[in-house]
Amino acid sequence: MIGVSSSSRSFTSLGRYLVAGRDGNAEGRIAWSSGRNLPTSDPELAAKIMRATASQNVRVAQPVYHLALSFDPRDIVDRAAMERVADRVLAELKLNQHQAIIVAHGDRAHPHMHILINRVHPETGRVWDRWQDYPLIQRALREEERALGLRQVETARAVDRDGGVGGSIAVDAGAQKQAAKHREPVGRELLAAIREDLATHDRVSQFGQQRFAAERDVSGAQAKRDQIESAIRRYNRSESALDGSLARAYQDPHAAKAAFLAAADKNGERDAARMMREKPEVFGPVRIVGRQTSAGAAQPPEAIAAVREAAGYGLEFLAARREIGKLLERQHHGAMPARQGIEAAREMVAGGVAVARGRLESIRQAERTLPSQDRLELRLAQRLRQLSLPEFEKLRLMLTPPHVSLTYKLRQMVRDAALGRDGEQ
Amino acid sequence: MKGAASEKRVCPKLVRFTPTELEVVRDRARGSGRPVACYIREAALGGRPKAQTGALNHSVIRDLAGFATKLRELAQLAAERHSPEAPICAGLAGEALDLIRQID
Repeated sequence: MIGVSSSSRSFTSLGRYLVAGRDGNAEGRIAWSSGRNLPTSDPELAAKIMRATASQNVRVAQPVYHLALSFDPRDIVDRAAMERVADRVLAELKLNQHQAIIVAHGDRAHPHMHILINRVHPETGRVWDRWQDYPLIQRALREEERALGLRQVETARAVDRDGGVGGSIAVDAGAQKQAAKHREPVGRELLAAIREDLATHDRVSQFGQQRFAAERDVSGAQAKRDQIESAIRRYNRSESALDGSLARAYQDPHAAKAAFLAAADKNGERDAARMMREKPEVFGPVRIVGRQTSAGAAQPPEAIAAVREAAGYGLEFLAARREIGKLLERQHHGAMPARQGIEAAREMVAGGVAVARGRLESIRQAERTLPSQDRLELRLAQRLRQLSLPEFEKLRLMLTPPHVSLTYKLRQMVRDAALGRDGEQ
Repeated sequence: MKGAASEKRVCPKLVRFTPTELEVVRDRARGSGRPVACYIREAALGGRPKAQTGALNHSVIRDLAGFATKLRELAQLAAERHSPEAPICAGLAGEALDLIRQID
């Protein structure tokens, strides 16, 4: 069993929460409820009565004491057993004369109940002091676990520090002092373990950031490689298409290609393509297919079609060459000529991908030597939960602001989970 | 008048009242839902501590709840003894609770 306690101001708010939760959905939430020193088992009405009772004492700022007792999901407990545990805890805390309403919820896998208690005594008006309530609750729970044959929870500070569950209820002051002396080094060890966990958490976070950067580098390198590969494919495809059409159109396709490229460099790509379409003979003697024609006569239709095709492929080839030139220029900062650097650039980019992957893998291997962030935070949260409030405050003074923030968050997280608020936030 | 937020109230001051005066002050402090010292300080510093709304209601609810609790116990006792008054007591307790529900 796990027991969590808290104090607050408003009976009404807590009563409403117990009935309807935060989302206001009361259906199936309450399994049963039972009052102690109250004429009703209706939580909201009980809260109203408790509020009126608490108003007798004008000094108390937080008259509400809230206990949440959760059983292991595998524990099979009925109402009688749950009420027995509740009564035992109330008696242990000397709250058996105070007004209390026990509300068992059936909205989760694990059986659990909330006890809303009025800290103000209904007859005397005196306020019950919750100092050192945690060990008392734990002792009662451990004993009830043994008595009812329930699963024992090892998160309890009292159990851990007292070295077992055999402590009796009537512990005299001397025995308590002895126990306190015995606890001291355990507390120091716990603080040291928490600080070590926090340092590990820092390392895990750093590795996480490095892994994120390495993954980003791998993605970037792969994108560059894909871009260059795609540009190379386009370049090769357009060049072979241009070569093919020039071979069909010209008697000397190599000379025609060189002339076309020179014209493109000199007059511009579009002018060179237009010239090839309109005056193909400028780039060399045109291949004659089929019938012979006299000089100045119209070109045969096959040659005209091949020339037009070559002009189109020529433009595409020039665009591909321009694109790959830009990419390689970016890759090598303009140091390497486009044509010569294609293969070298391809290798360099592939090498960049391999380096980035290697770095990522080494980070992942280093991460494997550490616990996962989730597991570490869970362990840290459990250890933080074992600290009393003064110990926690003492720890916070020794920590850096980010660690303070983390410890506060984790402690709150465990508390919320134990109170059954985990699914509602 | 209020001191600075960080300023602590560390200066005690003994004030003497006649028994009658003290009774009046106590009643007023209770009516405003404050401890006597708080009430005196607030009033002396120029504030007008208002009477706590619902103080009377709380008193009525307390009385009704006490009444209902006793009736429930009686009903239980009567039921254990198979007395015919058991349902009457339980009904009266229920009526007392209904009255509490009606109070705002």
